[in-house]
Amino acid sequence: MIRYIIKRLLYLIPVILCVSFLVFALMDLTPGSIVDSMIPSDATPEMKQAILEQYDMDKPMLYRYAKYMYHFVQGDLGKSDISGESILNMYLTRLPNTLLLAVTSLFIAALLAIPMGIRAARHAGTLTDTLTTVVTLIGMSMPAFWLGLILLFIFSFQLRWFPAGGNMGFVSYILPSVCNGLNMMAGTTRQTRSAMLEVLNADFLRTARAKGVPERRVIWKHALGNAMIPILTTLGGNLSTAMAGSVVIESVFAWPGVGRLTAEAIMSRDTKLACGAVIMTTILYVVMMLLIDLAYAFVDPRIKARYVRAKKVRRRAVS
Amino acid sequence: MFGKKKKMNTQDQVVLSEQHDSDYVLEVSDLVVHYELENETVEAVNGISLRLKKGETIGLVGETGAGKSSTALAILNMVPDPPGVIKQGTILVNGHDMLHLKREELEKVRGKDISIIFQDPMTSLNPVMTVGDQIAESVMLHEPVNKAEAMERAKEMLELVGIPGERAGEYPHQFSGGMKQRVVIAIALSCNPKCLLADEPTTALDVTIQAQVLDMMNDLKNRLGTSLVMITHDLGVIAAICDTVAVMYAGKIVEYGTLEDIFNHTMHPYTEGLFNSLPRINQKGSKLIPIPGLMPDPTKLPVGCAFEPRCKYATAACREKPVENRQVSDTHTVLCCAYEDPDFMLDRRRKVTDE
Amino acid sequence: MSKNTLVSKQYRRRSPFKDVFHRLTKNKGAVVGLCIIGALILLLLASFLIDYSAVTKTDLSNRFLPPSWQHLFGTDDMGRDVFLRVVYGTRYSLSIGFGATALAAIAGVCIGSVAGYYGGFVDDIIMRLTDILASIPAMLLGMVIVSILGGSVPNLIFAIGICSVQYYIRITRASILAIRGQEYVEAAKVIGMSDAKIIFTQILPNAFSPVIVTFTATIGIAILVAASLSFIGLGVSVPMPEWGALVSSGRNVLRTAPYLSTFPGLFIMLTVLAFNILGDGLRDALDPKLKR
Repeated sequence: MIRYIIKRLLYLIPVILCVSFLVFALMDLTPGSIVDSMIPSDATPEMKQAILEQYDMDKPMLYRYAKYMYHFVQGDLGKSDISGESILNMYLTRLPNTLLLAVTSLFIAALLAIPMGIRAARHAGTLTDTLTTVVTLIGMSMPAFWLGLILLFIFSFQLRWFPAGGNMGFVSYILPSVCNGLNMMAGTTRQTRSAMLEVLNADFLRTARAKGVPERRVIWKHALGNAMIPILTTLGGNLSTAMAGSVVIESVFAWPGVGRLTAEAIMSRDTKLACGAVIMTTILYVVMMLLIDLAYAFVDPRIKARYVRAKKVRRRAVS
Repeated sequence: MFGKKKKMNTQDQVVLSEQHDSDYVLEVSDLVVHYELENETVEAVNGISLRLKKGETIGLVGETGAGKSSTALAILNMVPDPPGVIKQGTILVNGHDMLHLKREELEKVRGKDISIIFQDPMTSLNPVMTVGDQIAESVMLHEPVNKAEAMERAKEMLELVGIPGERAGEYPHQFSGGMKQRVVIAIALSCNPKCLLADEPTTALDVTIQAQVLDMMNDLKNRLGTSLVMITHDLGVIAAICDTVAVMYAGKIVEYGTLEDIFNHTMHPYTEGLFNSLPRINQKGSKLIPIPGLMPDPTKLPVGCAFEPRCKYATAACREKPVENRQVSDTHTVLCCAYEDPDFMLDRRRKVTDE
Repeated sequence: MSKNTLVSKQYRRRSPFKDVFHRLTKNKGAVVGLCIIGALILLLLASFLIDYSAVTKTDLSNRFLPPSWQHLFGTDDMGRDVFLRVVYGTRYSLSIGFGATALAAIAGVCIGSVAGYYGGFVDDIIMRLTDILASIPAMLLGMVIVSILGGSVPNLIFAIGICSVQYYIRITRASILAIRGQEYVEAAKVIGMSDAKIIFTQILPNAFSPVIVTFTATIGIAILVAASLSFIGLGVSVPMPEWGALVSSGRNVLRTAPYLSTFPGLFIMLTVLAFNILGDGLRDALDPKLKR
């Protein structure tokens, strides 16, 4: 198992290198970067050359990328073209806000979605089920920013229960988390429902009932335990996306997270900041995805067995 | 979720509260189970009565769709509802009226007084729990023990069914089919139930494993004094393990008697058909004689004898009126109207008498 | 169980396409979805009667009028009629959603078939590249690409298409791997059919249904992503009346004129909802195993 985890972590390195190269290259191609705007229109060719050289623009892109990554691994992401602040600092001060939002909204989503999905599956075909399906379909179809604006209008402007934006302590968390949570909930409920539907007719539930296991335990331990993988996939996907910064929700609620930082950097053409932020976020994202992948092993012993025996199986496949 | 609860009448309540002093561990009378679908009703079980004494083994034999499994599920009050409905009948398990118990009471009876082994061991175990936990869960539900004691007991149970106790920490996927069935049996026997239902416990297993599992069940049954309802379509299994046999056809018991009655004094044409479709090793050149035709559509059962269309002795009388149960001896009953003619005898018996 | 046997009896004589269509029309949700999509297409056709200048023309004497019969959805900060703008904007969401998904589907199916059919080294390379593409959160990738290319309809189609191509690659590859070993494919090889012909005539038709289901499901997501990009100011931008941009333009006056954001958002939701319901219906219709 540990060997497997190490192997998976090592495998992340080429992925991160490729992704960072891709992002770096894309950003490098961006027309109208700050460097261009630093060249005055009446600059002599010599001045122009000097500025280009200062930013290595005369060298091939690969050189710039290598240099960038050399500094990157040392924790030096450079300074923002606009504010001159350290990019790593900027990112790390925003990150807790995003993580907090992601985790609270995940809790809201899971606490609502799993019971709802189970209920719908157990009463498949009834009115409860149909209502759940309709509600979740609407939830999935609602643009997050629109839901956010509606929540803002009702709870901030009309009822004045919560502040309209920014980070002003506990009350500020509520609206964005609820909005993000509701958004995640829809998909998770559907996934829970369909995963439970597949399990509910399983023979081993019959065995459990036959040995006198109380119905509640049959559902919540035996059935849910076996339906957990797809639910975990959905929740995990949502969590990684939210951790990567829900750009839209952070923008609606003026939430100082990494998503908004990235969006603002991109829009203000702060290439260096945007590049650093996107790469950092991507690293966070792939690490999260890996953790979820590993979490499967703890939910399902068969998957764990596959990891442990992965080597053996592969050898057999080759021969 | 389970069988529909019917209104309790006073008489039933008396039965429930009475101290259980009958000889019978399991008493089923006049059980009717239907599956009510949107536009039709499947009449799976149509008036079955069974009685089982302590330590006794009864075999329920019949082809697929005869209502054997529905009977087993109904005994536990576990007929899936919807669409299944237990229309009428009483089921007493060790004195507990299964059809009128509250859900919590029912959960206490299941696994403790009566338990069941299902057909397919591959899917009967929870894949994400260790086998030890699955056995211990049952023990903890029914007996005042803590987790460690329950686990200890689980290991003992595994040893009892011939699996080393230290494998308790393993998951079902690490066991073979025959081993899994042993685990299922260990779960079923973990609380020392008075009565065990075995729904085709060997059908999904390899032939070589079948005999092992059967021997083991026979042995355990004798050692623990459990009564057993063996559901099977295999007459060989019946001969090996049962004291009493009930032959089922289209939701009814067509012939009921001791092993001796059924095997040596066969009365019902269907039972005869079952025997004829068995290969005989010691008679060279003998052909298998299959029963022609198929079981009638359980949504459209005939008024008369359900076996009539396939029966070589059938007369017009068989078709017209419902068949009455005929008591042949103290232990032997048959559901066939051919015996209204006192001289009627099956070919098989004629042959036996000739020889 | 027995329900299913009856259903199959009932449908035995229909061709697969008719069968699916029949099951689809029996699904109430799918019919509703189809109706909404039909209405949207009518709206789209009607929107071509509207002149672009009519939706961009400012009329400062009529700013922030609440909804009335004259201006169904009210007027915005420039006095433009929001209803007209929303109707006109139908084309952006529909074309981006459809275009991006079609692009992703075509590219993804081709790449996925190659990976699945040839396996080995080719498969490894393609799948590793797909992994890399999947490692960047879709919204971020979209933002980066759009910021480079600039926010226009074709660019959004391209950006969002790239974001969703991985789903099609994975799905096609998986179904092809499942089908590749089947006897009828072996048989086609034995009679000397070319690889391309085997892929197109033997394998792809059988891998069709998961792709179709994914198609309807991802159209909704594509529309949402496009609207989100426009909302944060990176997609189709003002004065063009894209729905996401319309919602965004109303957010500053949300307190006083909430209707400016409400109606365009409602249209986004309805459109996405229609595709999602249709997707659900199609999934049920294409998968006879799912009983309902």
